[in-house]
Amino acid sequence: MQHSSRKYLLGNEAIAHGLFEAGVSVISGYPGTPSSEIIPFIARNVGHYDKPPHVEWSVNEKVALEVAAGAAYCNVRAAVVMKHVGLNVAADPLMTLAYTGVKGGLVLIVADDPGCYSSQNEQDSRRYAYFAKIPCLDPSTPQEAYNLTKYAFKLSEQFEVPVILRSTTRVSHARASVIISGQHSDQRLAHFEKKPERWVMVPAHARLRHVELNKLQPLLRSELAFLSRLKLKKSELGVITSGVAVKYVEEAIKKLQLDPSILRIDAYPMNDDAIVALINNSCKVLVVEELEPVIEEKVNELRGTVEILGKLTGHLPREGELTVDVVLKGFGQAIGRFVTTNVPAELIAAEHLLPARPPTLCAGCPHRATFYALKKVFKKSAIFVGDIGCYTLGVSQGTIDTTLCMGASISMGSGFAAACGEGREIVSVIGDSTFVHTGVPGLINAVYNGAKMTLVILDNNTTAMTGHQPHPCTGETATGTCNFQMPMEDLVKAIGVQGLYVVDPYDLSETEEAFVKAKNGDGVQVVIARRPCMISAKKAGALSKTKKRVTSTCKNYFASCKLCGTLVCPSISYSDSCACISEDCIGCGVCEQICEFDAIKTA
Amino acid sequence: MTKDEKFDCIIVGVGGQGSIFASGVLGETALREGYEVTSAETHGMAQRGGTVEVHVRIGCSYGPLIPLRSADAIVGMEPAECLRFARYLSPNGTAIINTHVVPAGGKDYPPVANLLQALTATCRRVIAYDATRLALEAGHPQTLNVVMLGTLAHLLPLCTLEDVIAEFVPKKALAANLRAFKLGQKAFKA
Repeated sequence: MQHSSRKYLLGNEAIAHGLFEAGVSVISGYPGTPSSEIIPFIARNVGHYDKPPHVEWSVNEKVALEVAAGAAYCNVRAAVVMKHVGLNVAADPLMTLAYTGVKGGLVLIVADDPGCYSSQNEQDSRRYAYFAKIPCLDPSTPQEAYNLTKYAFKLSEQFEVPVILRSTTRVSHARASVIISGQHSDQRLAHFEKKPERWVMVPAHARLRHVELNKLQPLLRSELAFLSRLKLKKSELGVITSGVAVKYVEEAIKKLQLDPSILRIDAYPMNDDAIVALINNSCKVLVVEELEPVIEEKVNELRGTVEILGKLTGHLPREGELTVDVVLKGFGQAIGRFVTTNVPAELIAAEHLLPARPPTLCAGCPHRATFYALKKVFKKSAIFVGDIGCYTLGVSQGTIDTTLCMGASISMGSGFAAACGEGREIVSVIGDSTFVHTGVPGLINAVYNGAKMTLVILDNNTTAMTGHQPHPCTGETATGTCNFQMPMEDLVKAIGVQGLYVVDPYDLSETEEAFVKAKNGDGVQVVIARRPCMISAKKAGALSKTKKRVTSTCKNYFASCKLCGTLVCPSISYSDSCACISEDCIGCGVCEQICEFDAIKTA
Repeated sequence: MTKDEKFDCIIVGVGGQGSIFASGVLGETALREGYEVTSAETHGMAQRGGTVEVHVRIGCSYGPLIPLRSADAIVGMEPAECLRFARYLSPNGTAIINTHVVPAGGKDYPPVANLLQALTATCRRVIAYDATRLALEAGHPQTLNVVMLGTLAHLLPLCTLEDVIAEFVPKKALAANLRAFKLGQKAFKA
C-alpha cells in the first residue's frame, strides 16, 4: 500500500487509515456512538501489516487512556478512541497527563454528538482541551480527519503533549471521497527513560511540570497558526467558523451570494492575531461553530467595538445540531435579510399523521422478558435505576426510571436505598459490558456500605447497542483472540453479595422465582439474566436451528385482554383487538408463557 | 454529463431495508466515475426498528447534509418514512416511493393514498409502486433496495451503477439483484 488512492470512506475509517499510516503501536478505546467503527476497522486490517499495532477494547475510557499513556511514555505512538462522554471517564488521567506530557505521540480521538442522536448529553470536547491546556484539532470532513490524524502525532511529539482530535457525527459518520497517501511511517522503538521529576507527579514535581505546560501555550499557539486560515474580503461582514460548520458556511454564502471575510479555525489554542485581523476588517462578525460557543467567547474578549453575532446573541441556536438551513437563517438575521425555506402546508399536515417509529427492543430480545418478570414481581412502586445500553429502551415497559451515565445504576441505586430506607424496593438494571465498564466499583461500594437493593445484570454477552463489541466477560478481544473469559459469577460472589441467581430470561417462571427470592433477601441481591443478544445469535446462525413458529389463535373472546401488548414486542400487533404474530417473530416463546388463555402457541 | 454536475438524493427506510447499502453503492459509483461525493448516515438505533435516513450528495464539496427543499430525488423504501423526509425534496425533484407499508406501533397508519397525494402536490414527479412485490418477483425481498436503485438510475448522472451493484452483492444473490435492478428500471415513468 505505497501508492496514493482515492476511496469512499466513512470518516471513522479515514481516521483509522490515518492511524495505520502514522505507525501507531498501541490503540485502545471503549465503544460509543459516533466513534465505534474506528477500532473494529483497525482490528479487521491488522493482518495486512508485518508489524501490526496492538489494538484493544479496554474495559472503559479511563483504562484505555492509561494504556495509551503507558505506551506513549515508552516513546511509541499511541491512540485512544472514545465518544465525548467517554472523555469524562478518562478526565482524571487526562488532566495530569497534560503535566507529564508524553514521549511518543499520544492522540485522543474523541467524537462529539451534537443533537444527542445516541448520547445522554451534547458536551463539547474542545472545552476539555482548553481545561487540560492541550491542543485540539477540529476537522470538517473525512479527508481532513485523515490528514489531521497524521499531523496530530507530529504535533504531539514535537511538544511532547497529548493532542485531542475532535470529531463530530457529521465527520465520523459521513462518507466521502478521501485521498489516502499510502505512505506509512515505521513504528518507533520502545524505550522508557526513568526520570522521576518527569513521570512521578508528586506535588514537588507537579508544580514544576505545571510551569512547563503553561510555558508551552504560546508555542502551541504559534505552531498551530497555520491551521487558522484567514481570507479577507472587502465586506462589512466577517465569519469565523470551525469543524463541520465550515462546510455549512461555504454552502450558505454561496446560496445567499455573499462574499464575507472568512476565518476558519481548525486547531486550538486559537490564533489571536488572525481573529484580531478579521475583527479589524469587519463591522460585524458571525461566529458559526458546532456545540459550545468556544470561539465566540474568545472573539468577544478581543472584539473592540465590533458586533459579534452567534450563539450568545441568539443568531444561532445554543443547543442541537447545526444544518445548512440553521446557518442560512443565522446569516439572514446577521445581514437583515429574511431567509427561510418554506415547507409546504400539505407536507406539514401529512407529517402530523405519520406514526412514530421509536426504537424498540428487537423481537426476541431477552431484555424484554427480564423486564416483564421484573415488573410483575417488583410492581410499579419499585424504583428501577437504569444505565446506558439497549435496555434503556425498557422505559416503554415501565422498568427504567433513571438513566444518567455509564455505571450509575448501581451506585445511584445505593443512594436511592439510603434515602428511601426499607419501605421502597430498589432495583438497579445494568448490562454486562456496562457492568464491567464502571459497574463493578458501584457494586463493591453498595455491598461494603450495606445497601439493601437488587441488582439485575442483563447479560447478553456483548456490547449490543454500539454494534456488538466484545468485553472481558465474553473472553474475546478486539482482534478475536481469547485470552481469558472472566467469570461474572465469581467476580460478583467475591464482592460479597448476599444472594446470587443466574437465570435464562426466556424461562419466565424461573426468572420470576429468582426475583422473588432477591426481593425477600437481605443486603445486595444479584440476578444475572443470561441469554445472548438476539442479533448476535442470528448472525451466528444459532436462531435458525431453534426458531419456532409461533401462531396466535387469539379470537378476542376475552374482551381484548392485550396482556401480550405489555411486552411492547414489534412482532405483536392487534387486528380487531386480536393478537397477530408477524413474520419477524423469532419464537422466543415469552408471549406464549404469559397468555392466560393459551391463545399463542409455538410449534 | 460533466463531472461537476450535482445530484442530491435522500434515501430513507426502516432498519434492515438496505438504505445504507444503497447509498454505499451510489457513493462508490460516483467516486469511480470521477465525482466528488459525500453522504451522511443517521442510524443511531436503526437495528432496533428505527428510521434510517441517508443523504447522498454527488458532485458536492460541501457538507454531507442536504438543505431543505433542495434534493433532486428522494428514495423512500417505506411510504411513511418517505413522507417524513419529503421536506428535503426540491419542488422540482422526483419522489420514488415504495407503497408497501411496514407497520409502526402506536398511531394508526394513514392511508397510503393520502400520503401520495401530499407528495404529488409538493414535487414535480412521484413514481409510486409496490417495490417489495417486485423484489419478491426478482427472487428475494432483500433486493428491495436494488429495485429502487434501478428506478433511480434513470435520473442519475452515473452510467456504471449496475456494475458496481453486481460487484457489491454476495455472489449467490447476484442473479436476483440483477433481475431486481431491471424490474426497478422498468418501473420508471418519465
